Amino acid sequence: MTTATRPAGSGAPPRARRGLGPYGILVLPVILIVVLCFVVPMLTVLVRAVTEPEPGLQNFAWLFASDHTLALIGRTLRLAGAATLITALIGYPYAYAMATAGPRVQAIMLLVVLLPFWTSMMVRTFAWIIILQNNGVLNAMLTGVGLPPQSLLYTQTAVLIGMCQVLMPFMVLPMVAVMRSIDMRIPLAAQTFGAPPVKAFFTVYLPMSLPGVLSGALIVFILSLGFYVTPALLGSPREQILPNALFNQIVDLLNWGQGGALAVALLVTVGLAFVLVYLVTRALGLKVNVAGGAQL
Amino acid sequence: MTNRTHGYWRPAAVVAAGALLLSGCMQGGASDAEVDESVFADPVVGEAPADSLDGVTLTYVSWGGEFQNGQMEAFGNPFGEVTGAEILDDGPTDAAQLRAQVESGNVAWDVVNASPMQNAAYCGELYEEIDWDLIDTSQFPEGMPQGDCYIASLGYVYGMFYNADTYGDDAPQSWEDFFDTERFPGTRAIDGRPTPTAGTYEAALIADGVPEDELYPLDLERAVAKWDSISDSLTYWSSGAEQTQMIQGGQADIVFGWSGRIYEANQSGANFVPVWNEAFLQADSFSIAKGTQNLAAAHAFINYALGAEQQQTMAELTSYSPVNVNSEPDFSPEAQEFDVSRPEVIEQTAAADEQYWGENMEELSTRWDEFLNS
Repeated sequence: MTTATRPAGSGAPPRARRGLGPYGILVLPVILIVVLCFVVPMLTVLVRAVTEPEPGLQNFAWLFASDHTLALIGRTLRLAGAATLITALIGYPYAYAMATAGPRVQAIMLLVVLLPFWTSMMVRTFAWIIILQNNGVLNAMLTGVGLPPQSLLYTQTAVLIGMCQVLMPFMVLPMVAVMRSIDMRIPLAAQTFGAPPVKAFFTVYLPMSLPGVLSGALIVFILSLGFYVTPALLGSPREQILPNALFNQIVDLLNWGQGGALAVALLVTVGLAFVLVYLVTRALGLKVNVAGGAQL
Repeated sequence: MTNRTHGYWRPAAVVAAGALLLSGCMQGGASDAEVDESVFADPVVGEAPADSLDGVTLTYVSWGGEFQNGQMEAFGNPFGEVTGAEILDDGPTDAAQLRAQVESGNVAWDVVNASPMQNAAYCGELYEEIDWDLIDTSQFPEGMPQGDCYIASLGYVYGMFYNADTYGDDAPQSWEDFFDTERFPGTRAIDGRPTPTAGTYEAALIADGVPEDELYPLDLERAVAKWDSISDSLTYWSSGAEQTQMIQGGQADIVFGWSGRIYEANQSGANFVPVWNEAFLQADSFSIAKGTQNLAAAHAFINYALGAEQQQTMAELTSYSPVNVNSEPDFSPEAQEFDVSRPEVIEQTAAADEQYWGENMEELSTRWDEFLNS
């Protein structure tokens, strides 16, 4: 991540030698495990999508013929988009405060981000059930101050709340990594040239921090496309998203062909998201670490 | 030796190590022990020939949790002690996993506690046809589900349960009442799984005036339209645990769910009352994984588990109803109320045809899945 905003002339890192070298053989077990445990099963899913129950493209025809699978993909994209936007809007000021704070405050803020991250996702999701359910903590507080109770559990709102909490570190950490490498004297310089602080922020600081925002957004968006547990526990079966529909096809209905077609749809959606971000960043002339950039 | 010669065989060693690693992940269910199968002829329910399965490993699969612990204590472990077999328990029951095992030819499961609907849907494909010469059904209660590939393992009811604190004396008593959201306002929690429990369409049809003996073949469009008419009052559970959770969380005033799970919620302080009238008598089932290495032993296991004493212990430990006419579980008064094997309960219940559901599962679940996603 730091290389993305390294000032020109600081010297490129030494180029890795081509080939694997004498110790390259040590990588083989990893490659073997990835191929056997990831590539092979994924290819099996692809093959099933075009061979079950009989060879042909009927599973993809089903995918595009039925309104409800298209609605499903649309709902999944909207949910992922909303989660990305919300985590970005909340995460940006937090990351800014964290990047510009002193070392002690920074450590505390980092802990606050990471603490929920270290808790099991199941535990966090069940905690949201207890908070959001009709006779839960939230409604006890609302009615306590004279406000009407809200029925939030088993709605898309509940799913979004749960997802944003889980995904927040993935947004904040890449942002902080980029922001910390921004020389604060540069926006200051803009102010010396007469820019008001707000303008200095929007024309100087924000563009410089964009690579962090984009890589955070990409990770959050892709992770939310694959969310299963949170929507399953906090959402309603009437508002399914892709991973849950996929699970139902494979585990409950044993339609492995249609499940495979849904899996391909999910994979293609993720691929398109990558391409989109690549095009956007290239148009903006930015370098974004799509692999995460969570290193601090 | 030079480095170069080493180079050839390092990859080989790595491949070998990898293969070992992977084979470690896979399960094998084969037992090498020699079993004299003639001892299983002329079975007596609840009994098993002593030391007949020395060296055999048998895997019993059920839904997990306290429920499966109760089953293991009631018949799994005792069967192992009598016959000398080692009984492993695994779970939860998962048709997709069983299908993967059957397709790979590497079947690790033997006896599977499943649903009659699943068994009927995949009879001969994922489940073995049962050899009724190896199981004594003389004490099996009449009216409990039994088919080519299954026999009931316990009884419960799929019906409506209402919150006594919400409705008091004027409570819903029939499916017609359940769908009358004006007279009985409140949220109804129903089955939100793509393959709903057998009875889900039937309840709507009965409420819509279809006589109980004219339900089949099911008019799916009519049933779905009936459900759709009260969709503003519906919420959806997707597991047994969620039924209990919804009651405790105040998410529903009426639950169309499984008696065992409502009983659990009541044990934790809820006050939900069963409506046995027109409720559906249901069962879990014993079945045998297709391609098991221990076919005779699996039959012996089921024959043993159906015994009066075993069913009695199972019922006392899990609060589900026994499937042996001679079982007389010592229930607490609260558990007694939820014992659906009592004649006065059975008299009031309606029938949901599990066999029909199994044979038409694809169509029935596709329609429900479409309803849920509409």
